[in-house]
Amino acid sequence: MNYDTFTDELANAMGLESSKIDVLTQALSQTIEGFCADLDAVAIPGFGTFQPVKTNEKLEEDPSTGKRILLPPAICIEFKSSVVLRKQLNR
Amino acid sequence: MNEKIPIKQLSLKLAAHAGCTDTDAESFIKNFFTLIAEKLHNGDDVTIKGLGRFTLSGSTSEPVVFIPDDELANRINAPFAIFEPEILNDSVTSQMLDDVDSEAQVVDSADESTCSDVVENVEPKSEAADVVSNLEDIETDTVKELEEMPSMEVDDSEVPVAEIGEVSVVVDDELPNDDSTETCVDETPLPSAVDVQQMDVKPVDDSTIEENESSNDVDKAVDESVVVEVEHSTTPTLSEPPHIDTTSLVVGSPVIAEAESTPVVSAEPAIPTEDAGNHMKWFFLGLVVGLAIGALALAGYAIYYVNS
Repeated sequence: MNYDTFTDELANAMGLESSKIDVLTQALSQTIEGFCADLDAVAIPGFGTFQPVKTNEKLEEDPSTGKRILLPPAICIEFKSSVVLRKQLNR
Repeated sequence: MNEKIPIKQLSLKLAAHAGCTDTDAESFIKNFFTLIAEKLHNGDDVTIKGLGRFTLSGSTSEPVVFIPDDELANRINAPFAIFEPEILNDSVTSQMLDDVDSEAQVVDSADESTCSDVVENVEPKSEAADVVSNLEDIETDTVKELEEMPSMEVDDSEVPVAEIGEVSVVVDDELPNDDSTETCVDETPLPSAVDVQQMDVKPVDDSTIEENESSNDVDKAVDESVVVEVEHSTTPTLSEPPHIDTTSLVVGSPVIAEAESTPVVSAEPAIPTEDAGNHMKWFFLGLVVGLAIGALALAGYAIYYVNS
């Protein structure tokens, strides 16, 4: 499902305009981004948790060339689904 | 950092960001993720622009895979954007990397110790130490000036307070109209001028002033006036300055009045004698209390021994 379809369905479900839903969706994305940038996890009840994970710089070796590469630190967002969502999807 | 943000806090932040009410924001969040869950339940992948993509993994332990949007990942990793993966040369050994890490740790610890040193250096000196040092300087200057006075026979380099006071009083009594004595007293530096420059901190404890109030001796009274003048010159915000009966200082000689106005001669050594008196008083008080406790303990033990 693409983004436009999603916003249209959500607008119909909430009785709002698609543009308003788009604005709120972008604001929600930026809000989650702000919390994750501070390494705070965002928990959505019944859905899951957006957990930022920071990895420090590390050395990795390229198996083909044998060269060692120093990788910089990074933050990646992991999603852990809630028990409710897992049960819902596994039914 | 490393906190778990509940939906309430998320909705508050979203409401502030989007300019809507908290209830509307919370309702939107719930509907938003409920619709995503429904679409996932129907077997659809959901792509949210600016957030990421939710896909099904087929695993029962973690059925949903979230792939963050590239823009989102780039914005979160903006602090590390200046770094790039570096291919290390073969000459770089793991030992060298360990050495670099240890040096970095040493630098960190050195920075911490430097900060602690700076903090220690920033800490002001104890007020009592400054007062004592200033008083010692003034005392040596005063003694030197006393030695230079021809009419006053002061042989010792370190003259006690009482002796200084007695000498000044005796000289004044014997030579009430002697100009040399008066000029010598006048030439002594004013304590206020000296102390204002050197004693920026609290000069004297309140207990010392209270001790001075209880004294009726002429020499100590002169000392009190000096101490009070010093305190007034340095701490003008003192709410209740000690009351000194200056009439008790008048002996009949005009020189004594001048000595009161310029009381440098007996001003500085006053505190050591008062401290000594305090120490002796507290020593005897502690001794008496200790003996009383010991006697009570002995009596209690005797009573216990007799009863048993």
